Amino acid sequence: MSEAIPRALRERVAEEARHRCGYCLTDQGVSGAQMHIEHIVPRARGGRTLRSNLWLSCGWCNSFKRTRIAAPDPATGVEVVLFNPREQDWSQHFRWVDGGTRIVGLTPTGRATVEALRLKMSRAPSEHSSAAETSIPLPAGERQDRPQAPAWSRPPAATRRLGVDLRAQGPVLHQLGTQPVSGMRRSWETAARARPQAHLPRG
Amino acid sequence: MIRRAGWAPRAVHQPVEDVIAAILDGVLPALDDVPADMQAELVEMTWLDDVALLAIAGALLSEADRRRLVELSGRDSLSDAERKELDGLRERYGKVTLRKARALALLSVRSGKGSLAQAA
Repeated sequence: MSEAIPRALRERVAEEARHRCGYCLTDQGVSGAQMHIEHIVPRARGGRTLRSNLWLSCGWCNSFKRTRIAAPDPATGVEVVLFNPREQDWSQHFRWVDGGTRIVGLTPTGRATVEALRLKMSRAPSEHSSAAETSIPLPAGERQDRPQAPAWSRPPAATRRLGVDLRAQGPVLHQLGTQPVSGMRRSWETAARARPQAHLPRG
Repeated sequence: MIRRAGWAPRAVHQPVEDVIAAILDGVLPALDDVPADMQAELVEMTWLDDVALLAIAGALLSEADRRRLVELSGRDSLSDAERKELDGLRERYGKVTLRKARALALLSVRSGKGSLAQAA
């Protein structure tokens, strides 16, 4: 867990990740919780607390990835290693579709990660129980017939539909003559730098 | 409003039609994917003042909830009760995130800037 990671290392990893989730690219400025410093190879699988094994993930992605390191490619059923946000290029494995509101996988790794982390979750409960989604193996010891996920949109998709333009937040603060809520300024400034490259996050 | 309608397009170098469309987009958000129990709340946020929106934009899941979310997410196996708890935490996280997104979108529109859809 992040609590055991030295602060300097956490800050360095957050900077490297541009304060965004490595999977869905949600920015810290819009995330509903402080981003988690994730062990890419989970500690439960022997992953170590080294910079090379750490990245940022949002509460949503982390809660679905859990202790997994691999999942089936829904196109072939072949198990593949999940996306590694530190070592792999996001745009090689994923693409935004539907007006920038949903993510699809382009490669076996991308497709497996989209399915495993519910990157394309829809609000329609029927889609949650599709064969592709329920076929994802859960961590050892967990039942396969888990209850359906609540009828919830994946937040990143919905936030994009709501029309967030994070680049505008700096001017908002200036115009209002208001000091931002503690901790928000850096997030917004970071967002202002990061957002123009959101479609090509790791060039 | 008329003054703003004249000022905003010049400020952002966009056609007035695009600015008005962005404003309407902010007032009438696309509610696809938004849970039914939050749709009215998100629309009603349109009439909150800037201070209230800034407060919402700065909100985060409680630290206790965040820690519990991380803890449950790091376990190899979960009991039925823990799985239900994890679903509840995801839902709380999602609600905070959606409120923040809506607040940021409204602040963005009020500042005379466009929406993400324009920027994309």
